[in-house]
Amino acid sequence: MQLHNMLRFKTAWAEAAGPSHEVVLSTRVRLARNLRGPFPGHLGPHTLKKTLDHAFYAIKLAGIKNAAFFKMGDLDATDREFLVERHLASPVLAAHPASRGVVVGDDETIVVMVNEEDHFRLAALLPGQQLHAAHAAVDRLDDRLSSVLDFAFRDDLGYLTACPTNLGTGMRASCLVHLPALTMTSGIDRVMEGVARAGLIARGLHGEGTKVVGDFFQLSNATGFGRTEGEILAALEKTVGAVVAREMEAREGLSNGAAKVRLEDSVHRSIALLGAARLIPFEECQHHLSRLRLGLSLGWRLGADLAVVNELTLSTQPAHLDLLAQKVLSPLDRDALRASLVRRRLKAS
Amino acid sequence: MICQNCGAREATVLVQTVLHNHVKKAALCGSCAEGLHAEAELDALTEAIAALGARVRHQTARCANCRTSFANFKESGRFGCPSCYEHFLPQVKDLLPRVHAGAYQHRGKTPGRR
Repeated sequence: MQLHNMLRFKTAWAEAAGPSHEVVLSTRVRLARNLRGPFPGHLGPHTLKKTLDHAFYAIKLAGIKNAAFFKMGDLDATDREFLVERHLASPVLAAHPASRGVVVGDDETIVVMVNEEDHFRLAALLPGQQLHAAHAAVDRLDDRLSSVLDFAFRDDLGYLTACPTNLGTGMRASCLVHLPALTMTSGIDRVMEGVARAGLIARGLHGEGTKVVGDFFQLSNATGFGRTEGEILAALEKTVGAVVAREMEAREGLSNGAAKVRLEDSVHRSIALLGAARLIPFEECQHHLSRLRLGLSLGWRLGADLAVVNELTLSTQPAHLDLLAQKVLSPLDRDALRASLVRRRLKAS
Repeated sequence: MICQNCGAREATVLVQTVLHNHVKKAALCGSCAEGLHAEAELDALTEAIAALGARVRHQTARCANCRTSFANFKESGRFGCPSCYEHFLPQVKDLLPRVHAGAYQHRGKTPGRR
């Protein structure tokens, strides 16, 4: 459990900032890049390790502000899971740690995964809807890395990747959106079907059954080949904008007339529970934080702020709590620590 | 709810994808959902590969660089190295429009050119 210090670090992408941050929690743009040799899945342990060392050296030359270099093989399971919860490593990287690595920099807004399915997965993460700024940041990093590395590329096919579905720009752009009002008014299914028909992929975070706990959805482009980066970003921006507008309409509907007192009741019940519970399971915590987040984003004075709610959305995840306690907790102890953390943070804010 | 894919772990992610105008939903655990995009695309990829059918010749030939065969690719959905794309170029060119909404030519960034 070496990453305990990271709990104190700023997670800039989870701040309550950036355009449309009342609905769009964060934006991520990643690029898949490969060297000209065999892809990581085809490398033996020795070559995989050499590739990791070579990649770390190149990333140092490219220069990432305040970069921290992690070899996944040097981290224990809690640390690796923590990086996944923090959106800094993929579950694949955590599950196969040998000679895999992650470089995190610039207040956790820049991440490079090494030896995932592709040699490099560069990503920029920013708060709010900042598709163009995130793309610009990751594009600059790509340029700097390209000056020291020879990435596999063909004029007709673009950047070459292990899976042909990532071919071309190698770009996957996504927005993490909070849609509690659409979920409460059952408008979510229609909106999600529209999103899917627009050629985007939608996934719920922290879902259970057909209900998505915490009301967070990730919207991303399905393909990155045959269109320019600008075209892909514009299409995603348009759809995300439409989803935000629908969510705002639903919020408006819920906070007026007879519906308002029901929503107030629901939000205040959540606040009461978060402020009093001694044991909170993860799903329940996410559910009530989502309600609180909705109330705050409607501008209600609730004695808390969005920044704290965003922080708690991250810090109440299992591996975050284990790191805080510096040991692998039992489910009961974890629920108790989660409840005490939430009470303390909400009281302080 | 238990993950609909592995049937072992707790489902934590709801995945929704569209394939040929049909919306598909699944509750998955973190590990299974990890390959979410890959999974959704792999479905499309597998279908596209199957659609190539008899047009795929030289299935026994292997990439000279990494020794990946087209059968290996069909099984995993992954090529072994960048040279595979040259070795299997006719198949790749058949495959791409099916996987990438009709596209057959890269139009994005080119390294070293603005």
